[in-house]
Amino acid sequence: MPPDEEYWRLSDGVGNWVFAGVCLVIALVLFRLIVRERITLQGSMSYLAFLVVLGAMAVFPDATGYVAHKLGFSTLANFFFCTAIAALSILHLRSLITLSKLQLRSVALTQELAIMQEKLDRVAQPTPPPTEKSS
Amino acid sequence: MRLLLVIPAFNEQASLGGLLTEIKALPPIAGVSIDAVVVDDGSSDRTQEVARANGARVLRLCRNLGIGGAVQAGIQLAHREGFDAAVQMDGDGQHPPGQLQRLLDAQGPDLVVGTRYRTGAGFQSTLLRRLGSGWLRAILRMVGVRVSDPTSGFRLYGPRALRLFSDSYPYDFPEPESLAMTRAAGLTISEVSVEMRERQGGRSSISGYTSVYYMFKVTLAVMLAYLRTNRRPRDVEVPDATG
Repeated sequence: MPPDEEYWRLSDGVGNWVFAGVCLVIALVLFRLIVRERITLQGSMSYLAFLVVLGAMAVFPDATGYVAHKLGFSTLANFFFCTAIAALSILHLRSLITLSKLQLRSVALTQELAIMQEKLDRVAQPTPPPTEKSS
Repeated sequence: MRLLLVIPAFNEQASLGGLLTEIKALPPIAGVSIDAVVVDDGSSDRTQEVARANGARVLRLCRNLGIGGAVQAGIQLAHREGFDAAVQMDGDGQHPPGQLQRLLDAQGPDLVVGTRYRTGAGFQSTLLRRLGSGWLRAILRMVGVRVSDPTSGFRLYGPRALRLFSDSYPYDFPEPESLAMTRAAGLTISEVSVEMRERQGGRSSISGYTSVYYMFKVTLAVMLAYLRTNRRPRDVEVPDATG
């Protein structure tokens, strides 16, 4: 049975291509940041995958509509938003995990540095001259 | 016995000098050699200089980690250098060094907590804080910890507690959470009455909206600490101190 016309609402007009363009621009900005070593490729892979999925959904609305229909969504827009929110939640969780690891590591390094510095300070302290014994 | 006094301090130049002078003036305790380390938690004032001028060892943290991170740094130092015990004392002068003997007398359990509420002598804190303490007492009782002053930062850590907290210590508002961790790791806790004073300088980190956050966070943290430590016994396994 063909899906209702409602499903194909977003496939009309240029809205999809505009959104695909936005995804492309964000991906380019991401690449630029990677090239300038402001962010790492490893850390950006999930974000890039997210952009590819969103871009593909915008460029191929018919296929997206088909999947949305199979999943029981009544409008393509709802499916689109749900996918985006779920993907962003996963990305956020991933960032949170990375950030927590970094925070713990940073605390451990700060403590380690302080302990090492204290040791060095003690070693570098001038030893008092030996007291002369009276003969 | 080698004892390390761990004094976490953040912008405590006003009170630290007096505290260290009191420590130096302590009468010798038979069989105990005392060393003091001030953990300067990224202070912007002259805390570090005051500590050095008074002959204390100084761990200078290059950024502010909060009380938990500062205390853990001191505990790590004590553990690595083979101290037999460490006593945590606030840098604001709330914990009179003269009360140290009481903690040492109670030594034996892995963690000895100095409580101000048992006898009612000395500084008793504000009503709001006492209410907060009451709530935390109830929460801690649910996980099997019975102490009357769960927020007390005047405590003695034995070798097994040093080992436990050297690996893992809560960073934010750590006192109640660390009690739950101690209990969950199967270590022993006791408490002893001490007299405390009002802070001699500086400002408390818990006030206004922070206190609401504090209660919520600590309640959650106590529960989690207990569950986490019980679920992963290998992570907190504490071998015999003599081993």
